[in-house]
Amino acid sequence: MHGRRFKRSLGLTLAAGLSLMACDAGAPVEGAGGIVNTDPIARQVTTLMASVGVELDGKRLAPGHLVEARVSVDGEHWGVFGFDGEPPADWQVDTAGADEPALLRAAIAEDLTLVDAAPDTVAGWHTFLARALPAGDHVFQLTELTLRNGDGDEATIESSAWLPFRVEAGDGTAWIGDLVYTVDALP
Amino acid sequence: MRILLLLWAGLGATACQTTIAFENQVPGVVVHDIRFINADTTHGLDGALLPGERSDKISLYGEDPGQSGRIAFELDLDGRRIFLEVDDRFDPKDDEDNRFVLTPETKVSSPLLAEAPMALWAAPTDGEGE
Repeated sequence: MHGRRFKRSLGLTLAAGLSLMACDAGAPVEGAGGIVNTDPIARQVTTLMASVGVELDGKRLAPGHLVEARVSVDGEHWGVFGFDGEPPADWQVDTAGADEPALLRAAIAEDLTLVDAAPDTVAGWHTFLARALPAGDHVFQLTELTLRNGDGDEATIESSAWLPFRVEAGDGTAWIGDLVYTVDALP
Repeated sequence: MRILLLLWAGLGATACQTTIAFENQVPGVVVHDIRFINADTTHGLDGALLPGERSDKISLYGEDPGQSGRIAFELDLDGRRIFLEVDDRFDPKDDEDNRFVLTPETKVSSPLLAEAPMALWAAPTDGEGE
């Protein structure tokens, strides 16, 4: 009697063990963690930084009025990037703190919000992953700079000027420089 | 006679096997850990497929090896890697050698983004592409 109970118990234990093994076969797919950089040596520049100022009649516009910049690199659209802060209500020129330039931080790389639509093909994802700058010489263009005041008045500065910059191997960020634009009037 | 019997048995065994092979036809892209998942079973490669490379055949096993499933893989470009799933389910034919070819036009998506709100995407800017 004891022997039969033992056998039944052993049989149940084996069945439970086999069930657990069967569960392992359905393990979830790993790797759904977005984009990762698995090779630090292959790191490339994904962020461009510049300080941007605007002058009106030789006087600096308050940096809070700079709201958006459209950037091209090597002749290709890099993205549209916003500046931090809220624009003052009226156009403010030569006020306290106006000498401080606005910081433009144009980061692409893993920021999917900068693309117009989600890639939906292998080629699309390949293009997206390739959005980085390898070491070497490149050309930066701030093609449009949007100014705004708190009342909603807007002005756009367009520029075709280009700035060369160099990326060194292993860099993750490239500094473009201090950019100063001049406007004749504001709306 | 014995040889004939062995040949017959061998042919019979081959005909009863459902297999899958993966092929990477995406120029410039290395595909890692490509796998076929059906009936909660994963059949895949532990390694990379270079552009133009085709894997060995992998036997599909389980109660219903020919059941349709999904293809998943990791796309790698210079160390930047993302997990992607093929949108269309793959439907292997029973008792046959099946082949999945990944091309630049293959529709894929990231499960991470599938859960993100559409507002994640920035509005198009004057039709200027990336």
